[in-house]
Amino acid sequence: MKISSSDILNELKQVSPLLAGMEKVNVFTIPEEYFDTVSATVLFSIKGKESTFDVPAGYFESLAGNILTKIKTGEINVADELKNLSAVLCSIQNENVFKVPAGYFAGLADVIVDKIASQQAIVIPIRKRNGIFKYAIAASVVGIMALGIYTVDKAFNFTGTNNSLAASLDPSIQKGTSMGDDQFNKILNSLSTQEIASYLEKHNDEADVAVLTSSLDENSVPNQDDYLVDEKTLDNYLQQLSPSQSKN
Amino acid sequence: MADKYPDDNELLLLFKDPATKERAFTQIIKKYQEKLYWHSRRMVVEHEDANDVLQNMFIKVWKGLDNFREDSQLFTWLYRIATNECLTFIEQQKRRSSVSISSEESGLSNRLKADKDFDANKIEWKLQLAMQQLPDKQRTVFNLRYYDEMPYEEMSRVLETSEGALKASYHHAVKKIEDYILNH
Repeated sequence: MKISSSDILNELKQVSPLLAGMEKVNVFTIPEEYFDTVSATVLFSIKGKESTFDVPAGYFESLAGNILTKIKTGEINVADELKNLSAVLCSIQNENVFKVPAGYFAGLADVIVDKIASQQAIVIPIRKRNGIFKYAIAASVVGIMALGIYTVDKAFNFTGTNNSLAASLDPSIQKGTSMGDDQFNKILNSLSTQEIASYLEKHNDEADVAVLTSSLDENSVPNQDDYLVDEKTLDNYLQQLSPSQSKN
Repeated sequence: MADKYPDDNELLLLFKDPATKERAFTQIIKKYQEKLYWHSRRMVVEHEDANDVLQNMFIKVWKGLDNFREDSQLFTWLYRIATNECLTFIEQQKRRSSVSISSEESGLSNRLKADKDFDANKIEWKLQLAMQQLPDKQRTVFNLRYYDEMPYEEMSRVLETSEGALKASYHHAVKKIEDYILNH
């Protein structure tokens, strides 16, 4: 006997009028296009175990590398990019308008090597910042301050020592008169920085050191590596100091 | 041209050996001088200035190559130094001239116009003038892409800027240059 929808509904009404009165709504959800893929999935599951397809030897070992290479070389071609951006620029074809002197490139390497050779300076080993190095800078900039009462005499006549570098009390100071800047500078200029630095180190009077170094900020003194990279480091540092030191 | 020289790894090894340091350095110069020169020339316009920039750049290479960490390509590192030298040079020129540089009166535009071969009617010269209207860094991006055909990935390491920013910058640069050429 054929059963119709109305028969089923009537049957339900007899059992549960409540259920018979409710609307039929589907509450379950499924992945998009699920039913489009069901057949292929089922077939693959059946055939996978029986696959006769061959894979080239080493295929999977090299797969990752091949994919990476493809990614790296997949960057858009520069010419195509330009064509898309501007037909005008594309038409100019990288025409070079600049000229270069004849033989320029042939001689450039030798010019640079010669320049480097001429800039090579003797590097004085720097043991530590608080040693000769700081005194050398201080001496060349502010030597007048603490050395004002002495002249450093190249004749090396320091009484009572055998030091090769000596100092004697300037006769004009002994007489109670002050030494002029010109006089002091003349003698000071005749000395090398190393001589002044050695003198300071050997006659390391605390007061002199305090005066000499008080104008120096430890952190502002250039790092010794800076001198190896840029020969203008000392000049630049002295220029920074000179406005504050010039009145001393 | 670069193919007839040893590869960069070999050059770096030779440079580390005091016996072959100078020879390796000379080869590095010869291998890369033209590329780096033209990159500099397009930035600073005049040959004498490009020559100064190039020499200063290679001197820095000599001093710094022992510390080169090889986490980037040698050429990328060289390009970065050259670019920084160009930008520093241009900044110094601007400060020295103590003139506010507007797009039309820029010193570099005037230097272009002063070139004995300058011809305002030729499109390739218009291109150079158009390039001078760009901010320095954007002009660098344009040069590296348009003339040197540098991939954005490598450019990102040279200029230490993201690839996305570089692409945007290049695209804007192309549009600005095209507008200039069409309107002048």
